[in-house]
Amino acid sequence: MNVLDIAGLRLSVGDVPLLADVTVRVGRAETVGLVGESGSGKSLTSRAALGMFPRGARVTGHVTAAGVDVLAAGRGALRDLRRTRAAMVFQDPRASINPVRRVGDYLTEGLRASGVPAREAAARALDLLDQVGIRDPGRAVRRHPHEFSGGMLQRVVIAGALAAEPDLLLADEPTTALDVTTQAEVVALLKRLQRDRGTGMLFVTHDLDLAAAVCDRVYVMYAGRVVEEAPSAGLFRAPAHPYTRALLEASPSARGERAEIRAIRGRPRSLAEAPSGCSFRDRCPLADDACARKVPDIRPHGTSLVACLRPQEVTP
Amino acid sequence: MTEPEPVPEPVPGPVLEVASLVKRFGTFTAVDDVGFTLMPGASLGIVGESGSGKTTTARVLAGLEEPTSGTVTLAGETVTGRSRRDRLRRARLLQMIFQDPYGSFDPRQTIAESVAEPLRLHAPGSRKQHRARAAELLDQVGLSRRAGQSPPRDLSGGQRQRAAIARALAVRPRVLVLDEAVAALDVSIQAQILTLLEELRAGTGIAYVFVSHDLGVVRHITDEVLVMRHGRVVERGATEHVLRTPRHPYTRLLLDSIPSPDWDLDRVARDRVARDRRALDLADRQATPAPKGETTC
Repeated sequence: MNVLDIAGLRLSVGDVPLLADVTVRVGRAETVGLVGESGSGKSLTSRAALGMFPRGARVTGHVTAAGVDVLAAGRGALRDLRRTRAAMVFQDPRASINPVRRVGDYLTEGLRASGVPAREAAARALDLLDQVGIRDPGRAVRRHPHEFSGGMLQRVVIAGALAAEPDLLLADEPTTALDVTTQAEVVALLKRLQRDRGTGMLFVTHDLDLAAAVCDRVYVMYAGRVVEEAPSAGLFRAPAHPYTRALLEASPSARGERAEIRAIRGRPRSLAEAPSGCSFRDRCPLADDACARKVPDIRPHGTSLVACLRPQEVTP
Repeated sequence: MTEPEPVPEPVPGPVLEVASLVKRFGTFTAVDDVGFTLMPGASLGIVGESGSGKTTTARVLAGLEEPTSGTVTLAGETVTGRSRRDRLRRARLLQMIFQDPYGSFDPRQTIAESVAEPLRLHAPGSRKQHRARAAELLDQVGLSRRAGQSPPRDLSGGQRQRAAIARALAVRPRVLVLDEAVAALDVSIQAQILTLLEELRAGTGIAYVFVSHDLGVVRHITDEVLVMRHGRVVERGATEHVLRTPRHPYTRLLLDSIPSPDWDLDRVARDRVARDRRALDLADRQATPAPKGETTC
């Protein structure tokens, strides 16, 4: 059974469409990447999994997270989902942790709210900090967030997210603000904890290399739509969508043979600004009149599912 | 066409020389004995993580911080003074680009007015001549006339970075210091700005000091690189050579930490433990000072 099932999700605020027909699945113990540039809708999609929508949003489609029908759920059911069955880790740990309360309080408040006795919750907090690699947990629980570096505080947030042993973990650019060596440690930690517990993870990132390294399967989003879905290995060896390939060619690499980078003309679009038909066609080197007629259907090509009329020209 | 007031004729030799640069904040040493030379048209990368001192080094070059000791020599003349004349002279030779240029544009001025501003300070000529030169600069960095007439808030991140580059180029500096200049941009836009920077360097012979945490970006935009850690240079050399055959364990750790499809997280974790702080610090002491012979950039 999938821990997250988003199907045909459409979202608009007023007259402004933001997401169109987004379908994303995350299985148990699976890590799934959601990759895209600004305005692609990747963060909106991940938030939708927990029923967090922008004010005044109109939403249609299906969202089932950890067995809860998110679009039909009432406040109580949503609160319960966020508290016990699904958790989220954001880019900036300082924005998601109360600066005037001690780290121990942060870790135990969720447990206490779900009825764990105080002493047991405190013991769990120590255990969690130990698991995420914080030295001297006994001292750490008495300290305030400002006494931790960004990388250490992100570990605390991860400990908090895993406190309730959720089925689903949403990680939205969890390492973007961290140094590269710290990023490697935090990712290793997330992967290890996830493997041990069988948690399904939706990993949102703009970094293709990171997605390739971390995820089993990747969705590439552009202008509020999923344009390609593929197993990580296949996506990077043989991208099927011109946008995926263009992104790979635009990313400078520090390893392997030095390859020239190729810029993509224009700038990333949001769904509201996108042209008719294929959203990428005004930046695509392969586009012609057929691409303007309608949004391309999703079709299989190689290991990918791709929304492009001629993926064979991208990778034969 | 108005030319900025002539800068002393380029003498053959380095356009920028930095020697034994030290910057302390209280008891904390942010930059510890950094030195390098930059030839006209060269591109030098400075890489490191937060706290490595790379940004402080850049800020000292631009005159935004006073060095505790050491010298910065621009086009053969040591720049130290804080007088208006000294600051203007330094600005004419060296300009700086930041990660997010939004804070450095006047929100009430159009982009074209902001780009013309340094001309008013540095170049004689009428407003009309300055406007014409500003239009030429905007065109050079690929901004439309319409973008030029917009206030900074109406521009995207990539467009603002182009505008910042146009303004920096207005006085025809010999050195551009770029501090994480493409870090906040989307991949597709980042590639556009990197391509633009390459074209500008080839076309004008300007030299870059490119400060970044991103080794992939540094590989594409620089010829030589300094790897900094805790304020010190731990490795230096030709960028391609350093990335392919890193000698210092810290450089290797940085490279191993970059995600890739065959990323071995367990190995990174093991390496990090094996080369924990003590081991690295020991290596720091043994590896410095780096042989000065390899530092011609």
